[in-house]
Amino acid sequence: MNDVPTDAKVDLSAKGSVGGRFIRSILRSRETGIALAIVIMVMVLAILAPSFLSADNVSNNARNMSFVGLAVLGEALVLIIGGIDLSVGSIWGVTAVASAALMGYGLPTPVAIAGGLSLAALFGLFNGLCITWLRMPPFVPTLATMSIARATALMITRGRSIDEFRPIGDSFFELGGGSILGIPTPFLLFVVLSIIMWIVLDRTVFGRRLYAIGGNETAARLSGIEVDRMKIMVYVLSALFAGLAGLVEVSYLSSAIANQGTGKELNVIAAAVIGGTNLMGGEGTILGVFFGAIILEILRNGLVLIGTDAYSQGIFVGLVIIIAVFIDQLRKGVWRRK
Amino acid sequence: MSALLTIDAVSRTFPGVKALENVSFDIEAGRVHAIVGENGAGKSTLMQIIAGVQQPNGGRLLLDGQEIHLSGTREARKKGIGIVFQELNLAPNMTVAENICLGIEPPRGKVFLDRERQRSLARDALGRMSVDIDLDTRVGDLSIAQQQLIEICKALIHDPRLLILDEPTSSLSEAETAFLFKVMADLKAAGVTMLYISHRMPEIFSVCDAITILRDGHHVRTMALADTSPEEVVRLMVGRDLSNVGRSPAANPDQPVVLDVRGLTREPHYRDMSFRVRAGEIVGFAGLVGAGRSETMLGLFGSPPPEAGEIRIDGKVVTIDRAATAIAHGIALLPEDRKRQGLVLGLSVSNNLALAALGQNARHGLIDFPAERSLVGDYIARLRIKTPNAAAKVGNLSGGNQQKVVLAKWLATNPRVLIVDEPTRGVDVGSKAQIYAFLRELAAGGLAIIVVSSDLPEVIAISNRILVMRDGRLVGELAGADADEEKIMALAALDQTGGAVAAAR
Repeated sequence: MNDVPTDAKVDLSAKGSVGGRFIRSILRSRETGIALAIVIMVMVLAILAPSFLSADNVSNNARNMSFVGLAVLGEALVLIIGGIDLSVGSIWGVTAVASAALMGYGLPTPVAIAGGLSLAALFGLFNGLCITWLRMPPFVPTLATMSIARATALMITRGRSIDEFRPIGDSFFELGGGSILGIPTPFLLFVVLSIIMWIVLDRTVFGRRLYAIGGNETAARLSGIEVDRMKIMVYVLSALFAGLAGLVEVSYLSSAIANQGTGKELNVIAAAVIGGTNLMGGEGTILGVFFGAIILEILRNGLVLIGTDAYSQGIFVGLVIIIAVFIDQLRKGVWRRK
Repeated sequence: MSALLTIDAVSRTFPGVKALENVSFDIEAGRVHAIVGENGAGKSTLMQIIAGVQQPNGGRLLLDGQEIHLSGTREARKKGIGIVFQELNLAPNMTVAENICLGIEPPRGKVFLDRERQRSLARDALGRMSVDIDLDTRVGDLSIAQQQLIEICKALIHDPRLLILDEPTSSLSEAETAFLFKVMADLKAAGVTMLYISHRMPEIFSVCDAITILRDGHHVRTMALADTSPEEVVRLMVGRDLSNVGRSPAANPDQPVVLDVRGLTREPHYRDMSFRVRAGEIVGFAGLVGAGRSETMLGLFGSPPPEAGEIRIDGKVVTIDRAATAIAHGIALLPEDRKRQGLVLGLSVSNNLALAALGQNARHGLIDFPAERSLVGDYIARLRIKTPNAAAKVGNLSGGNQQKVVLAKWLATNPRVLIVDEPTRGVDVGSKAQIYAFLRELAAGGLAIIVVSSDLPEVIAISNRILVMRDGRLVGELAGADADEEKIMALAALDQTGGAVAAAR
């Protein structure tokens, strides 16, 4: 009997004007819910910890979240095609130390960056080939790459940090540490790449095909989509974004160590899931993961500011993941019927 | 009155939809009772209510005159109601015995599994249907027909008094269907009442005693089958007279050959397949399930490609190694399994419809949205696809409308050759007629069409020419005008000696 009120609502929307329907579709969309959560979190923190909204803190947060944010842009593509990439944290680290090492050898900055990203792409290619040619479930090769890439990073550094690979004040450090019009460069990069990836997913043939692959791979293949080629491209892209995160972080830290990015794959996947990406594939948006990355950062920073035990942070992150997915299921009506 | 089950004023509403409204009728004990209706008429919802999968919003069910409340399938099972769903629910990596006993693993002591008892339970269930299938075979290695029988065993093991069969023959060939009917006759003799859901009139009239017709969630009529005719039933289902689908005459031999296939082989599925299809011709492929028809069609589509043989399109030899190249050469394939191979159920009507022709509606990789909208709008109108709007999830459409979306997806690629595999499986009578008419119209426009179907009246009605396959080979050709069911079956099942399921492998 509790279906009746829902019925009435559906009737209303059917009769509503076009504008009304548009507003309703915005209200119902997943991204609106996530944005609302951000607004509430910001308001609560602004009251509990006034320093939260200080220019310095906001700017720091924007910079901090950009590293994970960049990696999420790639991971989102992987999750949309129904895969998973566990190697992003390690690729992040190996790209960081490889680029720093190349600069340390005196190579020009663009060459060193290209070198680091090529290495990242190579790991992505390896993942993609294992998944397509060798028909492995994505978990396996990306888990292997997680280990291989980390070890590669350790071999490059021999356990030491790479410092002074560029003179102090070098323009390379602007990438992670600089600001443009008061906005931290990494955040600008994150926003610009998010817009580009939004266009790719929403407006291009490539993006549309990714959703088809994630929704039903067999049907996608039989519709003439080159599923294997697309998958390889997606894993390479994911590695490139992870590598970029590492590069920007090295620029920010002006020092590279082998354990950079360790464990970040979990933050990256968490941000994507909080942002409404479906781990079963076929569902997810760039706006969603963008918001997901913001939530994760606000949570991290907010808990510190209100003085929670630093050790307990993981509990809150975990709970937020569960709550986010639960709310998403409510929205989809998973629980409407018994 | 010997009503086993009384359905009394049952209603069920979903948000925005009244699936069932005030439905009442009796199911007499010991009968085979057919439930018919177009897709969306409420058959599935009603069956799910009887089987305890869903609960009604109003009304009640009486079993032997006693009101019952079913909170789930387990509860229904205890009351003696079993259901065999249309889709197979088997664990392909487990054995026949394990699958039959799924959910009732007999324990030894409190912890361990009593494998002996499991096997004997399974053996008994198979024995009741006089089916001979090895208990230790992996279910995934069985034919679809055999899997269907395993599904029935799963229900039989609970000794149901009422067994619901939801379109059990939709993936079976004629011979396998005949075998299933024998099984049903045995069960009936043993006192099992059955509810039989089907779209196929000849089947209903050969096995059922009574029939209930549903339309748009309402009960139209319940009557003895002896008192009615297929024509009347169809009329009551659709609420209008359907003109006979008729027959297609032979195609014009002056038309050029579009598709010329020579010696196509992929062991063990098909071998030495040679045939031609002219422009404007509809060629039917008949045969038992497992004869290699669908595999041959997938071969033409490069999924996977044949090991040997030659494909010519418009006289030119083409190499087809995957779906993308097949499409590039003008071949379109509406696959056998709509939900698994045809549609991305989570995406919209529009996104599904535009999927295969995506590249054609794009500039520099960017989708041309106005062009896509007009393409989608055109096909929704042309094929009369019933959908709230183009952005609706395709998974929420009825079977017939889903099939039209798949058809539209392929027509949007402007193919030279259109292959349709089981185009009307799970499709209601009204949509069926529309699909036939549309295929004829396309052929008249010069398209070369291949129709694969296990529904013999369908193949006969729609085809200009019929090719029959058996065990991976072409075994005969019949002109559409002088084909009939007996002639086709004789070719399709020549070697057979009664053991229908064995023949289908």
